[in-house]
Amino acid sequence: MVVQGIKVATTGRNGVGAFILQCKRLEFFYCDWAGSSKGMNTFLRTNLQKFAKANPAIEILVSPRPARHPVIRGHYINGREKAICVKNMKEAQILQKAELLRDANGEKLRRVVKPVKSVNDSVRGIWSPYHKPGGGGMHV
Amino acid sequence: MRRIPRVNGTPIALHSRIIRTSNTSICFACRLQATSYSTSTESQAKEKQSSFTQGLRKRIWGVDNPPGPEDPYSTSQLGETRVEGEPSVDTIVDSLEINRGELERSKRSERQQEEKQREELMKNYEPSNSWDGLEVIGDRRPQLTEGNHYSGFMPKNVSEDTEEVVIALHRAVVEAHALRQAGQPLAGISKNIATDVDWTVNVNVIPTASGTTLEFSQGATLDDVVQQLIASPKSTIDVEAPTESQEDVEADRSTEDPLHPEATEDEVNKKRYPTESEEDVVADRSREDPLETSEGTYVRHSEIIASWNPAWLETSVEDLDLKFSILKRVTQLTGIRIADTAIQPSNTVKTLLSHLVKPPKPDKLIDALGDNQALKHIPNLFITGKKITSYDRQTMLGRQKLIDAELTKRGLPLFGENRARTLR
Repeated sequence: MVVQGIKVATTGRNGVGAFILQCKRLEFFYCDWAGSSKGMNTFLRTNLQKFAKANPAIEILVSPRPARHPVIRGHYINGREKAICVKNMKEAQILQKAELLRDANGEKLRRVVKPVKSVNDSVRGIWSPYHKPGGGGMHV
Repeated sequence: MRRIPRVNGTPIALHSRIIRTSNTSICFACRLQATSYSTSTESQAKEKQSSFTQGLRKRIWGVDNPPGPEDPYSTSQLGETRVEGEPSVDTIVDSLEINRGELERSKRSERQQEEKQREELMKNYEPSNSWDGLEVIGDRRPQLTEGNHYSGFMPKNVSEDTEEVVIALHRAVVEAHALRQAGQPLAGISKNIATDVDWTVNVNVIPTASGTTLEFSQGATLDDVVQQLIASPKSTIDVEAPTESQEDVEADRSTEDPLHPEATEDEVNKKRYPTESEEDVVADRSREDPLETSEGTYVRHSEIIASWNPAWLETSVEDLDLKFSILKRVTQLTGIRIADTAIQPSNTVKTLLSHLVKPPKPDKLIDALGDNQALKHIPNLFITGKKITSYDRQTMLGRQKLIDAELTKRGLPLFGENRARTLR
């Protein structure tokens, strides 16, 4: 029989050839009156400039949201959004949350059962009832 | 019943000892008693231990008779390790106890003496009804008598006007350099505050490579500035015992009429609707100059500041004496104090001014962000001062104009029935 190659469709892998940042927009909402927004206000006064310069590919919007807790909302390429309420947080913690949203993709959070995904063949082979270690197994 | 004595050693060892004797006619208990009973067990143990220790010490020192006690771990031989001349522990403790007793006795006698003195004082004691005549202890406040006005170093109210502070700083700088040029000590800068004429307004401070020079104009001289500081003119009001001639001067200056002391108000002023001619009379008698308004003072300050050479802000204050005297004078004039951490790194008058005059903290965050010029040049950053509504979001997406066009086409209001049709 002629050896034929396995037909495999090419799939894109973000980061292999080129990397596309999944987060396209970050919105920072603050309040001038609420005490829970103190950390956010300090973050916007001190860290915002550095963060915006470090991430030129992300559109950053800052706007007040009166009488509400401060929130950071991220918009992603897959059309989904993620929001984190940063009430009563310090500026370092808020920066951490902003980086978390920046590094995320828009996928829903799932419980990871099998952390390894691979296209390589299994090392020990796929189970079959006809083969048992030390002999045995079904005889057909 | 015969008492079986205690036996040293484990039962197994004892049993092995008994087996070695190999005498089967005697019972086990009797054999046990016979083999294990010993009156000299402790001393044997001690001897064994001391012989072991002695052997070890011989090996360590390498001699047959090693120095030190035979059993260094025995408590009874501690005294033998003392150095000659050193007191023993017992004597030290005894001496301490003796000292403590003497101390207690002396304290007791002192207390008794104090009590005796107090008793003698209490014999003549009478409680007073007021504090007149009583001895005042710990009161450092100056005694205020009639005619003696206490004036503190700093003014009661802190200056909040920026231009006043700038003028006060300029004055301090001029005065400090004037004292330096005149060879007077800088400590005299805060001796006097002259309120009638301020000659420093007409002086320009010009920093040069060799130092700072003062440029006098409009009749001001170095002597005027220095005399203003050194001289301390006393007004007749503050003098405790004015002379006759001074009383006459005061009487001349006084506005009260000695013949009619109660009639201070003019009858014309009391009228509710004075006639034109009566208004003229009031205006003539009034001391207020209609040309001088409250805004006139404001303009004058800014004009004064504009008339100075702006290089005065670059004057160096690295000389610590100069810096301190300037700050002391500014504090005396304005009541504003700068933190020590801000004073130390300040090298120019401009830096001092930045600490003296601080802009008010913005109420809104948008104002604080607006002051930051660097944020305006970041292309991916958008800051809005108003809440972003759904209308704004639709506008950003580009849908809102279509919505508005369709609503207008149908004749429907854009923002509700009661509001006017207006596009943002």
